[in-house]
Amino acid sequence: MLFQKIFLSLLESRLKDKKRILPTTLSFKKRNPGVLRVATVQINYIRLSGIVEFSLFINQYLQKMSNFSPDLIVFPSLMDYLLLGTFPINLFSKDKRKLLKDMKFCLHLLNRSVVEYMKMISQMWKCGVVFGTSQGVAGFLNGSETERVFETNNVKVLIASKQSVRNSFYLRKHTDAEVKIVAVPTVGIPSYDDWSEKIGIWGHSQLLGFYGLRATMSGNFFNMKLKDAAEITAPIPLTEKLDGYIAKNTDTTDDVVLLAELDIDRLSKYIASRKMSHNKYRLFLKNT
Amino acid sequence: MKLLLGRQIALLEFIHVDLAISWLEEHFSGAKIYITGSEKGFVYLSEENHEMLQGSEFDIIKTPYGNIAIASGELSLLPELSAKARKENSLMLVPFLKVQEISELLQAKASFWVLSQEFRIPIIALINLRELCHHYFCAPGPRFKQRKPIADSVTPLTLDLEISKTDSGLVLTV
Repeated sequence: MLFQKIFLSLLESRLKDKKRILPTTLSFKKRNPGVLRVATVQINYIRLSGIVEFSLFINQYLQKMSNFSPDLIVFPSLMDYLLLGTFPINLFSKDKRKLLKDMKFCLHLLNRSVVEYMKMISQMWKCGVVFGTSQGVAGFLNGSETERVFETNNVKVLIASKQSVRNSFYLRKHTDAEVKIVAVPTVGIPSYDDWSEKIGIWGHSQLLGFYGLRATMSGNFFNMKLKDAAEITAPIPLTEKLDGYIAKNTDTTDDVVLLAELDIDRLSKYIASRKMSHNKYRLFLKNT
Repeated sequence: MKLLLGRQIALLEFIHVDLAISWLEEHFSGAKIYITGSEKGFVYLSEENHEMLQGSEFDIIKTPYGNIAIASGELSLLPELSAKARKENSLMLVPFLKVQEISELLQAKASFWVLSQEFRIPIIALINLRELCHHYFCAPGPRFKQRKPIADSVTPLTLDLEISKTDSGLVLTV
């Protein structure tokens, strides 16, 4: 324990160095009103040791979006698992109970480091950052922690879990409250199936009308091969190919950064055109 | 149960049908039950019982095969209706919807597919785009697994459905 605490203090002291985070091209921030720039990341899992390796690793993704200067970045879930190489845990130990206990202790510490790092990215890049750790999903906006629903550039964003984007009633409660973007940090599964994933953010984008951002982690994760595909979804009438995707990774085991400019005004007009039927529906439900 | 979706054609194989579902048009003898409708409402006809029902917006009707939920217009895309149809142990939900653009058609199909998977209810949608009716059939797969749409056609089609009762309700096998 003491050994691990020493590691942590070292980790956190190195974390304070903001120079490790790649700077953004802030002059590029000027943009059309009613448009939100977003970046969605798919990470191929790798076990890193220490915050220096972690920052270099994350910088690869930041590099791909530095000229784009996004207003919102969505990273995958379980970001603290990337740092598992920091502590000397025998991941191949046959004593599963001890392994789990050690992992739980380490992840608790690593979670703090990742949260702090994400906070610094959002502060330096003056943007929103959404991500997940073993403790759940979280978000930062300009260095301050956000609620599950937060507002950036006058656009409401919901941070949702993978399970909750399969629930129409939960999502509609938020879309009725003017949420335009749903950000989902997630992790792949070995038995990935495109149709099973479609029921989540893609399907509910169609049903309820919002932009969906799904960031994910894939690759070799312990002895599993995780598969998934990051995506940016929209209602079909707002997509060029009429497929409900603004961007989607075609490789289920690949590193990728998806960048998109979301036309919020166009979405608002589209929602307004559907609003009449929703009002009619409320009247209908009252009468039945 | 033999189901005919779409315009009724006087061919031998289409004569003995248990349930015929079509966009508003005249029917001919042969099927035991008819459901015909448009985005404004629907008519249910039973040749056996000489029964006729009509409705608009949303209704759950009792048929010899089980409850069938029918919805008309844009309301049919609301999750509450699929949830209610499921709660009432309906065999299927039959929405009638009219759309103007191809993008709306694709979106309606995607939405009906999501509703069928989320609420675990088969949906047989009749979507009219510029007087061409699209017959779209989607149903949930085994538990925790999603299934691709089963049928998507602008021509009439027949489907053989097997209905069985279990502790968790009615099971429909295609």
